[in-house]
Amino acid sequence: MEGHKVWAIVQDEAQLRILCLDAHNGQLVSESASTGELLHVSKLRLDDGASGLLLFDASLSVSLHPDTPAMRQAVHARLDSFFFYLLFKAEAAPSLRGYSLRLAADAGKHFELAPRWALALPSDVELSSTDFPATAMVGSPVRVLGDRSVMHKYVNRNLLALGLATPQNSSDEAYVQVMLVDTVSGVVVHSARHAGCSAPLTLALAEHWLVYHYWCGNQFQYQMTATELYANNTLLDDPISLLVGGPLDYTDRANMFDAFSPAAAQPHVASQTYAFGTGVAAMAATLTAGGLTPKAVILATTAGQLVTMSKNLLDTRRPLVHPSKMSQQQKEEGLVPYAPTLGGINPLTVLTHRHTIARPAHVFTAPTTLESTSLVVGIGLDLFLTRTAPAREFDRLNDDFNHVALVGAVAFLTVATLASNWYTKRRDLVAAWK
Amino acid sequence: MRAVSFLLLLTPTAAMFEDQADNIDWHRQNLGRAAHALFHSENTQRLAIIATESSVLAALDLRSGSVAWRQVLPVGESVTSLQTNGKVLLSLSTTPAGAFVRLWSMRGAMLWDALLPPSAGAKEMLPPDALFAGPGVVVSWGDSVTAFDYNVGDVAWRWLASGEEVQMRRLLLVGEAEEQQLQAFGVLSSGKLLRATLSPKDGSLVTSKALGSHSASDFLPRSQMVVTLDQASVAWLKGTALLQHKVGSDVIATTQLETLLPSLGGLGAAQLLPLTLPGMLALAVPAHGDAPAATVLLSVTGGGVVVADTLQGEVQLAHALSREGKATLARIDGGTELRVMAFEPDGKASAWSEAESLPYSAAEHGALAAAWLNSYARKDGSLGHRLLLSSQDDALQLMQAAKDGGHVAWVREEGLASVQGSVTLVPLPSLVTDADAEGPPAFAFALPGVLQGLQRRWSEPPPSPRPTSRLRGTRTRMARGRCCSCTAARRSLGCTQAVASCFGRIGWRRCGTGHPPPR
Repeated sequence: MEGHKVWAIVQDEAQLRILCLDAHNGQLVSESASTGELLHVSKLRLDDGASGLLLFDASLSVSLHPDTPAMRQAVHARLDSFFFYLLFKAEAAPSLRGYSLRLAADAGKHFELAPRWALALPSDVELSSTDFPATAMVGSPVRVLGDRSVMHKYVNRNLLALGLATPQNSSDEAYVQVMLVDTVSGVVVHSARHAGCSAPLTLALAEHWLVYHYWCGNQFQYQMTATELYANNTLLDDPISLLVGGPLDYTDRANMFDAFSPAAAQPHVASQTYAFGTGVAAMAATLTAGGLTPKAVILATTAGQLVTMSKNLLDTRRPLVHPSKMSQQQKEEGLVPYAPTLGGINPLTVLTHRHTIARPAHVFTAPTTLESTSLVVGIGLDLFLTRTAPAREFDRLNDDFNHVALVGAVAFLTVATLASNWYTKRRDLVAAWK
Repeated sequence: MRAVSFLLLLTPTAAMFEDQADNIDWHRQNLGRAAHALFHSENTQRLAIIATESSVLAALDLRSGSVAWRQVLPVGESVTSLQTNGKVLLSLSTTPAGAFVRLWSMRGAMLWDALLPPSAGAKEMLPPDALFAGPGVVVSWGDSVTAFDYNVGDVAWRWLASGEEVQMRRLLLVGEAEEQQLQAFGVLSSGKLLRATLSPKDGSLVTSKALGSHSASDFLPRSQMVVTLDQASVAWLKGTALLQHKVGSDVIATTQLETLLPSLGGLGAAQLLPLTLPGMLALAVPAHGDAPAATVLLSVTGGGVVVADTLQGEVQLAHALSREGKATLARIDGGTELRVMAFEPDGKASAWSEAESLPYSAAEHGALAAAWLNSYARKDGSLGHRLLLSSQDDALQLMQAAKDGGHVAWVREEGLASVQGSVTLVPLPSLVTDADAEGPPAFAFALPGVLQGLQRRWSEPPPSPRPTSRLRGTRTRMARGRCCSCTAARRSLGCTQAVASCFGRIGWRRCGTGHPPPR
């Protein structure tokens, strides 16, 4: 999307059409056609605010849209930092493959994809994947603990959460495996395997954490696992540099996350698993404008309801102690004592209230201009949109807020201030004449 | 545990106030692309009952297009047939596990369902057929004919074809009321037509005979097996040969389409249309080379097959049967012109009527995918025609034909029933001034709206003091329920662009939302 325009790529059997639509009224702004089988498309934002498309076809050649000198120059300038991944799900031998961009050897073309790494995947499992949107904001790079120390979040925007689950009626040994793959370096940052569990598997990835839901046939119940990743060093920034130069500017590219550094592949991982009472068809985490608002996980249940669940309940630091034995620091941190089950669904957390989404398949979230509020879209056969405020609407006045009383009070105080000022001056003047 | 419960209560809830239901959210019920449809009227209610390719069964109010009821069938089911006897609705659907027979009330409640397992060893199963026979429902599928009790769905009797592999295709009820017999037609693996005559009461076999002398390559013809309305003949296609069995005889007549239609090409891909007409068959011939597509009406009344009419170009046919048994055939040329042919009870067809125009927009909805005709008697005694049209963009619309142009009664856009890819949320302009602005709307753009809101607030009628003063501040949190009066007011406005006030249980509330109304 660029401004109010939306790109739509239409792939016919032999023809590829690129449509540019006005998002507000659906009018066709521009259209172009070419031949070939599209493999992947990626949007590139240029320095002047415009944007273009990088189109990758089945022969791994790259074409630009629009193919202008400015576009070619912009791509050329960023050749070293362009990495792509493609997940081949439908093939006989599924795989996850990573590519970079390089100048084409063929004189007729400008760029082409260069294979960098590949991850072979088993063919007899159901594959699912999710990532953290590139435009989503992260409120804080650290988590403050009850003892005032901090844990540095492992925020890697190149992570892809990949889920492998054996089908429920499979005769093979049942298992669920979840991998976090750095799609730039191809390193598997984290992998967890749950034996005796099977599909359906749904995933949600946000900031430094992953939540997934699956069927555990051994225990005959649905389970949810929360995984959090922290940088494996509590003193990431060089202390001398910090003292001399002050805090690092994380918008500077040199200070950004480096996928190729050794530390990038070795996060500290913490996980907890809980039983959950119902099947889940899709999951997503709430997104807000600044990423400051505590997160919630939106679950689309197989029964067609959207349920919001506070991330506090899916916190890997939930202490394994009796509530009466929680330390003061744990209480200050707002931790909830661990319980093996997340309990039933509280009706107050059902966003869809009287509605039902038939055949729920996807949940999408998006930030609004208000930090407290996130939009939630549930998609299946039906569509449902609502807004949710995981930490209540702290930046919005209620509909029934008494604006008249507020304006009246301000006006009264202004008049009272002016009147008392006038009265004080007059009294002082009268006193001076006495 | 109490502490845990207490801490859980501390977590923020996403509950909304009662008056916020349907105000901060919207919900849209989709059905998918219509595959089968029939019309039903009862008292003052006029319904179109449809089955969609998304395995949804729904009844639509003909006046508004709103969903009167909807039943979402399990994923993977494919509805192959929809029938009614005026009192109940019968749906047949197939899955890899077998064929489901379901009986529904006309108000959408399922009365019973039954599963017919696939034939053992069958490579491919063709769609089942069913009919209402006396107090039961008879279904033919695979190598069996099964009768179900009308009231509870128990199997009343079952007849299994023995010997050669067979795929039962059609059922017919022939004879007078007391001496009715059930004729089941199937195709044997030898390519012959099996005709089994059964007693509808207990399923006992009266006669069974293999007709014809075709080779095994005829087995499982993909073509529809079509029965004429007078139940005089059963016809199906095998390649470019039209096979016709005269009911009551042992004869299967073969007519080569090349000799019948020498001027048309692409006869190998021709299909019989599933229309039930008195003494007439409809054949769709796709475009071939320079020859355009054509629809051919074949008369089969006089023993032979005669071309009654050839309709060139993209033509959609739809048929309707009145309560008096009079059949009507409608043709829609290019989606914009409607012509009707009426059939007398003796099967005599009239000429095509004068063209009535349809306000169908092919530019907006693409080509017509299917059409269903609903004929009704006007006050002056003439026949009026409504058409339910399914288009290439999955939209479903009810169109009223008229000589002066007709009108579209309603349109249901069903393209969003199958969203597969990603979703991009675009901030729509809340004000006209935002329309040209790049990026998120700034507060300055919202200022006129704030002023308008203040002005509107002053101009609104004041809230009733009694309930407001009593109930303000005591709104109860709820997760289910709605403000009925707010919703009713919004619906009465027709569009939510307008802002209205209504009095609810919590006093006066604004009802405007600014988003499109859910269908």
